[in-house]
Amino acid sequence: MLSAAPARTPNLPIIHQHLPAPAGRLISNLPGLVPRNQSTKIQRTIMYRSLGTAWTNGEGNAGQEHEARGPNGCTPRAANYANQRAHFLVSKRPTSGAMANGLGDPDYIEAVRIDMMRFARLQLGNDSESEDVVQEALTAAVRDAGKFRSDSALKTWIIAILKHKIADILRQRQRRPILASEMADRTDSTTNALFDRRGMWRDAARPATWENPEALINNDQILAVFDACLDKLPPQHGRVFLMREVVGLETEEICRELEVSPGNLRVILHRARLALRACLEQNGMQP
Amino acid sequence: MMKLPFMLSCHDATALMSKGRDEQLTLSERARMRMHASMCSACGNFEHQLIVLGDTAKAYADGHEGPETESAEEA
Repeated sequence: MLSAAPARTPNLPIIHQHLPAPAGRLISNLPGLVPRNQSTKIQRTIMYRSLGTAWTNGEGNAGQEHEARGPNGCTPRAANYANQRAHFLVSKRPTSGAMANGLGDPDYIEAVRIDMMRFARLQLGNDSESEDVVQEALTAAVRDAGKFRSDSALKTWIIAILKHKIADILRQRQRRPILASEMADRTDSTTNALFDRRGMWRDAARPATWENPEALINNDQILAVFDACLDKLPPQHGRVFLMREVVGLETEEICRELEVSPGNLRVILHRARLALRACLEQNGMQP
Repeated sequence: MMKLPFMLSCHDATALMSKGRDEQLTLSERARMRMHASMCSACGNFEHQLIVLGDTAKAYADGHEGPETESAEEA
């Protein structure tokens, strides 16, 4: 994606160009932008509202993971994570059409920045690292901003930079192979629980007929169950499943993104679907 | 279901069904998968549920962007 990078245009009226490094930090301090902690607060508000609970402990702190559990058995952290995930996936934020492109518009930058943070957190699972990579990407994007006439093209470009930077980080991480533990074992526990030695369904695991699934899809309770089920998957699996089914990335894109082979990706998606299906059935998809 | 030597196992049939949602299956893959599904109701159910699963994922993602959350974001 980045091979199509436009050449830099040095004569742009770019406000950040002369800022001392790390210029990225300063972007969030420009007038009119929501300060970072405030936007975090808003996100947390969204989380509470959408879950309809009154948790006061919403920080993404691993140590607190087991402290509070919601009605669906989700930890606030898990719910927050899922929420960020979902938000990124279906961001329907209107773009501001008034300007030739949006990098002059603080609201637009902030809107994009929030989306970027969601994306980065989803991929990296780490706030400070995400913050850094988003600022870097924004700073880099600002240099080339004048090339873009429409906000959507600009946003695509910014996200492309972000993905590239995230991919760099993930690639470094994956020198220690994250996926190896999840992928290598052929005696996977999900598969073993569902199929016998010959690969036939175990009796208890045979998929039953789901009556009237259409009604259930729009049922909040089922969606909460789905959230909990997603959360039980290995993180990579849930992420890959959503990338494919909701974001609609093609398999080649996901392979490139996560540096997995097509075969590994197939196995991940198969297992994720098997596990999700089983989890939904066990927890009430069947009326 | 009895396993015949030329037939896919349920594991492999569901793997093909899953693959079929992401990529084009070969003719032979499709034929073997269809044949298995026609004889195995559990896998037939699974195939249908893959669609439900995808729809549920989309509804799940959409659900978090309801009117209430949007207004909270803009506030």
